[in-house]
Amino acid sequence: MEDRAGFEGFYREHLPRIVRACALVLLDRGLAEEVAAEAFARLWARWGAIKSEDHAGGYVFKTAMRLCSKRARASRRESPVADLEPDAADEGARVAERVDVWRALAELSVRQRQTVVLRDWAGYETNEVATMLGIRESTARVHLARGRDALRRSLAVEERT
Amino acid sequence: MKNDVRDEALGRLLDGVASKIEATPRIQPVVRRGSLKRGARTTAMVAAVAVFVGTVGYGALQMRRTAQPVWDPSTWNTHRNPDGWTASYPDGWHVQSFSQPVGHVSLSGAFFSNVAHDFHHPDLGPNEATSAWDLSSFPPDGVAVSLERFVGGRFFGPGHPDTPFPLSIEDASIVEGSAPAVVEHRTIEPVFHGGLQYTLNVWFGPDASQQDREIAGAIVSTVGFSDASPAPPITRVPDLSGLTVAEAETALNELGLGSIHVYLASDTIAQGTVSETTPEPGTKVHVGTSVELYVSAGPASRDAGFGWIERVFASDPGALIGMYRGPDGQGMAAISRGEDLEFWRSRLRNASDGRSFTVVGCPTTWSELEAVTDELLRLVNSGEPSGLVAGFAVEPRACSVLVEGTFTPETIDLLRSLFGDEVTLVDGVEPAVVLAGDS
Repeated sequence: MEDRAGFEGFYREHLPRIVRACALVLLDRGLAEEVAAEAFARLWARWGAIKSEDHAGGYVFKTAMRLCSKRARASRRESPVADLEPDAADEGARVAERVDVWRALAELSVRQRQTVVLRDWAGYETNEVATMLGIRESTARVHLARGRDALRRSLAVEERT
Repeated sequence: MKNDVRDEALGRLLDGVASKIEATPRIQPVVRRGSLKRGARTTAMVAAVAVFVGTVGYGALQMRRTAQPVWDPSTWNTHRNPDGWTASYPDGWHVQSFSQPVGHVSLSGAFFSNVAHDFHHPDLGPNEATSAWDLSSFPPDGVAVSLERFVGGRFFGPGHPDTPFPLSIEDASIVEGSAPAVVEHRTIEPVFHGGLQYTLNVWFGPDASQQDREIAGAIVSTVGFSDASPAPPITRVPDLSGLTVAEAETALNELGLGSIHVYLASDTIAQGTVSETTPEPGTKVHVGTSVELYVSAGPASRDAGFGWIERVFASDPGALIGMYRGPDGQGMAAISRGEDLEFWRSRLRNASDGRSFTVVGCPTTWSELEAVTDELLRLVNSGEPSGLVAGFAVEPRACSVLVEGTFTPETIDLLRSLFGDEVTLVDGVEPAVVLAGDS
């Protein structure tokens, strides 16, 4: 894959998903946007070596997640809830629910958030999650289990059997 | 496993939040236009990145300048790096630089900060270089700019696809409970100049002043890459014949060159001594390249007294992979796959003159192992796995090519996928060799 036009198209198509995944992990939309931009900049630097769109998608997602790991440790945001923009069309209950989820996510560790976001929101398999985060699959499973337990407790969600 | 099943309910809850997160363009910021001199290819790439920044409005790739700087860059000092780039920095800022060849990769960089503090990875040995800086005691009002340049090869390493060393404090060991290592950092831009890679990083403490932040940004913009020598400087391969491997490596390092060791049997040259080099002495080479050292592995018989075995195979040298001393001190001959072991046993018996010996069949052949060493040489010369292979030689004891070096999981995977059982990987100096006779 070689051309700038191709990269631009890929960028526009995939950016929102990357930003959202990072926002769920970082609980900070501004940081998420920066991380996403940096991930795409690194992808662009390697664009000549990218074999296919799948390859590019995996690469940028993995890069974004690893950058999230770095930025999450550095972040000192105190009120992540402020990032949720009120939607005029939303009923009050739904806004409250989103705030609950956001707060519940904030109680997880970064790794727990990453594994839950990648597995349950983005739908990657556990071994793919482990590869993206650069950890062993058994470790990923532990983080996933703990993250899910914590979220379910906070949100009183029934465990899927 | 129950755990493996995707939790749809959680996924929907998260999606309820995620779908409300805005990911569309915002206000357009000012795009920085620096005074960097670069090659045409670099300019095109930076322009492309700038277009994206301008279009979608993300702030990570630009630095804003104030209208009225309160400092005076004309009074700044200039830092000149041996590799040809320069940068200006204010009086009172602290500069640390390094330039170190490692294998056939050369690292160089400088770290400018308003903190009079040594930032080095604590585990470095005297001959080592790193691109990691121990920022675990970075002060809250600190600002720093690091400029790094990698010459002549690729890296492999944990946590990052391109380095054997941790590239950031997050990949190095952080002492828990210490002051924040890095509260915020930005990679300004990756810049490519003539095939070499530069990385610029700016690090901020949470209490860093606005002026110091802008100074850091200005330092970045003062970096000039000399167009007069776009390629690394040139040096000449020294004459290393007769030196030990350690002496040869020292001589090469002083010139900014790396080395690859190839062990060859020699009846005349002392073991561990360099016999010749590729390229030859006097050849002009770029700093950062590697020189092949042909090192004597000692006499071909490896042990005085086994020359008689080699002579038996003089008519068919491809049948013999090598000889070594067995557990009882007897000669052992490792034979290529497909050979008639009984045939060679009887030939050896006739020539043995009562000496004891054993014949061991290998699952591979001499020519296959020779092809492996050829391919390893080609790979190492081409840059992968770069800097991590110290030496390799056919090891009849293991019916394989012994490859010594410092291996990352990626390198191990690469070598295994290429060569399978035909290489035995040895991490460090003391090999644990699987003896062919053990099975």
